[in-house]
Amino acid sequence: MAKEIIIGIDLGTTNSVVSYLTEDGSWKVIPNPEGHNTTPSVVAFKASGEVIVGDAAKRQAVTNPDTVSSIKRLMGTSEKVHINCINKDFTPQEISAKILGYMKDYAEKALNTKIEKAVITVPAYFNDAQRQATKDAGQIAGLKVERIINEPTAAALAYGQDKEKAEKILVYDLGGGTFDVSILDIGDGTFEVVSTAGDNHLGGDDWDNALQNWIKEQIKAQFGVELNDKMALQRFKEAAEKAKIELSGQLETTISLPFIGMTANGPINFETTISRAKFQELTRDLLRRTEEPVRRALSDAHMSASDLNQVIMIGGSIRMPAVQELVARLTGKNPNYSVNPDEAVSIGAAIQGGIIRGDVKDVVLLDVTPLTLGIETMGGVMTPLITRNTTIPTTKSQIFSTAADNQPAVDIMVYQGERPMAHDNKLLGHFKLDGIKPARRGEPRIEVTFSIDVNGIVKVSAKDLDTQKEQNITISGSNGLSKADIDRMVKEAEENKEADERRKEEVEIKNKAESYINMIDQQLAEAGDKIDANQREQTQKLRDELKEALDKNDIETLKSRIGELEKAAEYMAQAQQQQGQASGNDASTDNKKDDDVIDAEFTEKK
Amino acid sequence: MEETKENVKEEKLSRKEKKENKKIHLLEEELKKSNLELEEWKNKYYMAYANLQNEKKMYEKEHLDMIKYRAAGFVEDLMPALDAFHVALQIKPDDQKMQNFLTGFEYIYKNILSVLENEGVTKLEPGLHAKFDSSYMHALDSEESDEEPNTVIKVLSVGYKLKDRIIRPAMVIVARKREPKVEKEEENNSSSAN
Repeated sequence: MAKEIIIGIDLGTTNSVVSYLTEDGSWKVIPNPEGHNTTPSVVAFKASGEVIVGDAAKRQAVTNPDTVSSIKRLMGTSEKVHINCINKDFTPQEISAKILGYMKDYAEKALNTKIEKAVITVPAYFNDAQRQATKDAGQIAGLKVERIINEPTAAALAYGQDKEKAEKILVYDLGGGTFDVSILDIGDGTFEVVSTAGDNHLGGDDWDNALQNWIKEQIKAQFGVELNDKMALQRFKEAAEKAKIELSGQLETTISLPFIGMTANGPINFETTISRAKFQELTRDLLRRTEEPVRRALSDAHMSASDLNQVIMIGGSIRMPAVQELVARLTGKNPNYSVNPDEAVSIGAAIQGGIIRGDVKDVVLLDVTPLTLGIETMGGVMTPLITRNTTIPTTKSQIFSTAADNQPAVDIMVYQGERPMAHDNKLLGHFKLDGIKPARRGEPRIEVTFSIDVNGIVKVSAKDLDTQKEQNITISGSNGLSKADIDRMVKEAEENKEADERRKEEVEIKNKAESYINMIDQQLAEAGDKIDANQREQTQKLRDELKEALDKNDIETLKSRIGELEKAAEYMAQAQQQQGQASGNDASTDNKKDDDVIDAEFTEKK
Repeated sequence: MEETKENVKEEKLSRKEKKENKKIHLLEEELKKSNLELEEWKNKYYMAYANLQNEKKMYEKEHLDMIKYRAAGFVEDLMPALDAFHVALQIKPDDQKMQNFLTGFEYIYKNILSVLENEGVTKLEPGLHAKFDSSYMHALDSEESDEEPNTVIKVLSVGYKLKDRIIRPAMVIVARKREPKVEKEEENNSSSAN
């Protein structure tokens, strides 16, 4: 491992997340041993002295009074948590340290390296004592806390904000149980939090509860029974959460709860549909509760919505369309949602870690090929060698062959673009490789190699593997395309996708037909009179039909005849084998060759 | 005379020499710089190569995990349906005809479970009186009971495991000692701080 890793930890009230910056400057969230990206901020103690953290701790919370959750709310206070079973008092930082230690531990296992440093995030409204307590928690967990940063600042970093660009940003953070709004003023190399507002007891769980209650009422109205047993309530909860998530992506969803209860008449089977509009109506008051803090944050910062340059939304609950619409309406801005809202804070902390480590500048920026590079093959098809968005420098080779018997030379036509037919793309250059020994079509092996160096210069070479003869061309103008050209070419490829695909398919069928006709001619000539007349006649007939369809450009007939021909070819191969002719050139190997080795064959171009 | 000549010659030589020495010195400097640069690039190359290897290893591990747990989302989506089956089959009707229907449904349920088993899914079904185990159970509540404290007294829904990963823990209710109200309040305090 080249450089030591500084992990970024979002130490949340309900859940925590840890991530790190990879060598190439991209980020990754480290999943916990249970496979989840978020870990419940819950710590439990047992009389045996065992400490349980995360998912398992949450699962046993009800049964174990010595379970501590939401310790973040106590950070910076002198309050202590008394743990009965071992009769010991713990400071909030000691409890937090258990969570941090657990995360450090699984991060070390996942990355297979020792981790000693971290950046930890805190809410913007945390005072010095609360920040110090967070730092202490890290130290107790064996982490050197390189920096404590504000959650909204981390979110801005995750969204690519750098401190040099002067901007005013509103960060709207609606999590599972807490809601925060912050306004950042960035400039002169600092991220300044100008104002914060929020609601400590408002989050996605409240939306779930509203829906859960509605389900309960519906059942009561429909069946006249009020279901209050634990099992039913648990199923309501799961169904509500599922419906909420589904309504973020679709306008209507079905809530289905078969056998949700029992009456004298048998089981209660409940099913209903709920629209997004209905859900929004049920939760309107909750949504409204997020409006006021946004206004307050703006007025505290002496700003109006129009002063904002950007709005960033984080926290899992911002996936709800109503929330997104509200924020767009309040701020007049359309936030982007490219970073996972549950993970943005932790990712921002990891990026801060990278900045401290000094490698964010150090990242080697490698270019990618803006468009696909390839050559023209039989029937005018574009055969890609280096696909679009490949990181350069790179080299790629593929083996091709000739399209006709005794073809003396091949023309290598180098194209750039996304369309499946070569002529729709941009011709970059071409050259000829001659001196190919007389051979049947498909037999010569010609290796075509594309390489792009670090400066974007493309070199294409073709080598006859039989004679070792080689030709090449160097193209330096391939990057001469402007951004607009590239965008246009990509767009055109998308627009013409269907028609292009059809054309390509037609060409492929025609190529296949042609190659079968050739093959059959060859086989028939070789077999001579060793094949019975009936067979010969039948095969000949199929071959002629194929030829006719090919000449008339009748694709449908070609398709069906090829199927028949494939059967006939197989039969011929068997007949040959039975006759003990081990020529090594029977139909079945030819067949395979067509599929595997030679992806495409050159056209005989002049 | 001769001496002077010699001197001049020597002087000339030394001038030439000086010039050459200077050149050598410059070249040496250049070489040193080039060597340093070479070393730097070599290092960078090896580092990039090593990183590639490491990333590859990590990618492979992630890839294997992905294959191993590929059914996770699917199993999760299937859970409400499985739960409903499970609940339905708890019913013990007195009507024989009804019982026959339920037996049929029970077999269908078992068929589904066996398909899931082939995919590596196992049912987590703690027995009554089993000791509570947070590695695969989630306690939704505790109830006063004469049973041994911290044992399962009700299984609300079974859990599911995919290979070695919990998809959902079994939802259970555990026994709590009959008596003090104080303890209950305390429990509420610590767990409802959410």
